[in-house]
Amino acid sequence: MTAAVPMPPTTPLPMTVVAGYLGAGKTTLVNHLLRNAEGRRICVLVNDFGEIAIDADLIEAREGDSLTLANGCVCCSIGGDLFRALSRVLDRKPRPDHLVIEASGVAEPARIAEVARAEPELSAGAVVVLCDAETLSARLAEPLLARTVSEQIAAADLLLLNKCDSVAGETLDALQGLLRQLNETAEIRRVEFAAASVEELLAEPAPRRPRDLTDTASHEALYERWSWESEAAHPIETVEQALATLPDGLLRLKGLLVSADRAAAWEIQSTGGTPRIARRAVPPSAQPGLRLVAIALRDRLDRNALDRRLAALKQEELV
Amino acid sequence: MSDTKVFSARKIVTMDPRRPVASHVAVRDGRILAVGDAEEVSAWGDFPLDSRFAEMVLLPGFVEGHAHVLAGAMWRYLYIGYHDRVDPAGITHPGLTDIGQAIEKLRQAEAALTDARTPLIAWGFDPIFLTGERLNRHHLDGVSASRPIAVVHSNFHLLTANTAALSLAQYGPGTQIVGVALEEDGHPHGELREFAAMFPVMRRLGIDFGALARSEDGVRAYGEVARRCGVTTVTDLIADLEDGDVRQLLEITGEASYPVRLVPALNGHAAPAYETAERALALKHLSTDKLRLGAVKLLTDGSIQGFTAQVNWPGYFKGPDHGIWNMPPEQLYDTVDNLNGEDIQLHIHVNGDKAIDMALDALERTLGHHRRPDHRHTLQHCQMAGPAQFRRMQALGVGVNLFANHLYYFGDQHRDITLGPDRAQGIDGCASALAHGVPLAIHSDAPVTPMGPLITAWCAVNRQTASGDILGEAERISVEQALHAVTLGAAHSLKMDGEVGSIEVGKRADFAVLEEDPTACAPEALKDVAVHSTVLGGEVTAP
Repeated sequence: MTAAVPMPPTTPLPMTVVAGYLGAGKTTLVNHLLRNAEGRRICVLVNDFGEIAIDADLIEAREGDSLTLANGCVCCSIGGDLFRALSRVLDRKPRPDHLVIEASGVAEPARIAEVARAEPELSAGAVVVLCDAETLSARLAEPLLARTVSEQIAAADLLLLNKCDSVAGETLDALQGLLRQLNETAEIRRVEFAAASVEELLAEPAPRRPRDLTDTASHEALYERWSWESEAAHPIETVEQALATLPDGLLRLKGLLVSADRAAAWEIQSTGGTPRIARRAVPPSAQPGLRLVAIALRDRLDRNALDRRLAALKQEELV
Repeated sequence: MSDTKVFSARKIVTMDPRRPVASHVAVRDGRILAVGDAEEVSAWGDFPLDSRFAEMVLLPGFVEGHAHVLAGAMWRYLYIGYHDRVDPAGITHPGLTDIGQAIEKLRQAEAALTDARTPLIAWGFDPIFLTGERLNRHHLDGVSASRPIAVVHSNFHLLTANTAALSLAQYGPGTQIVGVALEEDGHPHGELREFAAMFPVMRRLGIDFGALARSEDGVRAYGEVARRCGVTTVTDLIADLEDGDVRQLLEITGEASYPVRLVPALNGHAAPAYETAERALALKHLSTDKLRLGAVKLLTDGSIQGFTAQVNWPGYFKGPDHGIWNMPPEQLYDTVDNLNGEDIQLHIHVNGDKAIDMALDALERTLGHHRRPDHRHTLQHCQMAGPAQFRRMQALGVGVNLFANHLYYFGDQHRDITLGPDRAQGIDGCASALAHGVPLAIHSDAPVTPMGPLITAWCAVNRQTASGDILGEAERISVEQALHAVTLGAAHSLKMDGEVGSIEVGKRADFAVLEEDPTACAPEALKDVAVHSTVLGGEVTAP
C-alpha cells in the first residue's frame, strides 16, 4: 500500500465541461477550441478520439491515448475511465493552462462539473451545453430522452443553440424561450458550427443569479406557471414522498423547504422526473415552510393532481 | 500414450444426459478421453489410476459467467462486509453484522500497520443491511485520528472517510459540494457519494479500481477466488484490454499453474463502435485455451438497489427514480448493429424492464438485417424480465444470465423498498426463462456478491432471502436445472459449451471436486456442499 501524501499546493487548473446530446456538436466545439487556443495550452479529455479532426501537420506526437498538438494543446481519450483520465491530467508536467472535459451524450454534466469544486487542484469553469436547433424539440418529446436532455440543459452555465443556420428565425425564438424555461440563469448564445467565443467558453461562470420565472412574457402562450406555498415546515421525507411521482407535462419544478427552527434547508429540483433533493445552506431571509414553483406546457399539467398531493401533505400534518 | 491417466470418484455427475452418472474418467492431453465405469474406461487401455478422489464427487468445473477481476483484487484491502466471504488464501472472513464489529476489525487492522502514513482502506461495507446510526467519520476517528481511513461501500459508489482523510481533500466545515454529506452543524459527516465527491480522497489515498483490476496481483488473486469455489472458467465481464493488459493476461494465464480459463469481455464504451469492433476481432485471434477473447460488454442502465435502473411503469416502489443510461439509446442501437454486423458476441447489461425493452429493440433491429443464426448475444442480470420479454428473447435467440444471487443478498430490499412485494416475486425468473426456452445461466457478479456457483445455484433453487423469506416460489428451478445453469448453461453463454461445461469425451478435462453429491443432498443444503479442489486440463490445481 502506498503512503497517503498531501499534495503540494498549486494554482488550481480551471475545468470546463462540454456536454450535449448526440449530434449537438460537441466534437465540432472541441475542434474549434483546439484550433483557436491562441497560446493557451488546453488539455481536452474526449470520448471519441477518432473524430477529432486535426490537420496532420498540426499534430506533434501521437502516443497511445493522447495527441500532442504543435500549438501546445493536448487531447486525451477518457477511454471509459474518467478517474484515470483526470488523475493523469493532474499528474501532467507541466500542467496545462485549462482543462476541457467532453462529456458523453448521456452524461449528467452537473455531476462531472462537481469534481472541479471538490478537487482542490481544480477550479470550476463553465458547464457548456450544446443543443441542436434542428432536433431539440423532438428530443424533448421523446420519452426515453426527455429527462436526460432537459437535465443537461438545466445544468448549463452557457447554452449554445447550435446549427442556427438551418432553422428559421421564429423557431429559434421559440427554442430560445424553451431553453430559458428549462434554465433560468444560463447565458444563451446562438451559434453555427459550434463557433462560440473561446473567451466565453473558458471563462469562469458568473455566480448564478435567479431570474424571475415569469419574465418570459413572449412565451407565456406556450407555457404555464404553477406555484404552491405553505408556512408549515413538513418533514423532508413527507415532502419527498408527496413529490415522488410528478404529473405529466411538467417541465421544471423548483422549491425550497426550510425547517421550523430555520436550522436546515433543502433545495428541490426536477426537470420532469422524480425531484432531486439536496441539503443547502439556509438562505438568510428565508422563512420556515415549503415553497414550490413549476412550469409546464400549457394545458398539459394536471394542476389538480399536484394540489391534491400537497393538500394531503397538509392533512397528514394535522393528524 | 503414456500421459493418459484415469480418475476414479465416488460419483461423477457429467451433465451429459447420454451418460448422466459415471465412476471413472480418463484424461489425455488435457482432454477427456473416456467416461464410464472402470471397465468401459479401461477398454481404451491400461492406464494408471489416480484414486485420490475416490471418496469425492466430480462435476464439470463450474463456469462463472458474470464476475469481475476486482473480486480478487479487492482483497488487497480489508473486508468488512455483512456477509461471510472467502479470501484468495481460502480464509473465511465472517460477516460483520453491526457497526461495532466493523469498527473493531478496523481497529485491529490499524494496530497492525507500522508506517504512520499508510492509509487504512476497507471494502465491502453495506449500510443497507445495518440498523442504527450510519457509519460516519466519528466512528472512524475512533479507530485513528491521524491515519487516513477510507471505507469503500459494497456498491463502489460511496465511501466513508475519517477526518484525517477528509482533511487531505480539504473537506471541512463549510464545504458545500454535492455528494459530501454534512452533519447538522455543517461539518462533513464522512460519507462521500459518487465520483466527484470521492475523487479527491481516492486520489490522495491511492485508491484506483481501474489500476487494481489490471494489476498482476489482482489477476492472480482472482484465479484463486475462482478456484476455491470450484470454478474452472471465469469471466471478467468488462475489461479495457489495452495492449499491455492483454500481454500480461497472456503471460499469467499461460502459466501452467494459473488455475482457471479467463474470459474477459471488452468494454464497448471506451471507443466508437467501429474501433471497438476492430479491436474485438483482433483480440479474438489472440485467444488461447486459457484466455478467451472476442466478446464485447455493453451497459444500458444502472442497478435496481441503487435506483439507477431504468424501470417501466409503475416505477420504483419506494425511493427516488434516478434511472440512468450509460449510452444514448440511439448510440446503443448503432453500436449493437455495428458489432452484430461483424459477428461479435455481445453481453448486454440490463437490470430494469425498460432497459430490457431497449436492448431487445436494439437486437431485433440488427438481427432483422444482419442475421446471425448462432449469435449467443446474452442479456446480463436482466433481473426484471417478464414473460413477454422472455418470449421476445426466445424469438430472437437471445440468452439470459440472471443474477440469482440477488434473491438472497438483496431480495428483502427489492420486496420492501425498490420493487414492492408483488414485482419482487418475479425477479430473476429462472423458471420463466426455462419455460420460454431461453438459454439460462446464473451468476454472482462478484465482487458485488461473493462468487460461489453452488451458492448461486442454491439461490435459484430456494429463492430464500437473507431474512428467510421465500421470494416467488413459482420461479424456483430444480437442483439439476440450477447445476446445468452454472456449468453448461454458463458455458453456452460464452460460446464455450463445445469444450467445457460437461464431462464428455473430447471436452477439456475441467472438474469441480466436491465432498458431497449436490444432486443427492437436500436442496436447502446445496450451498453447504464443500468444494475440495478443482482439475484443470487434467491437472489438479493448487494454490
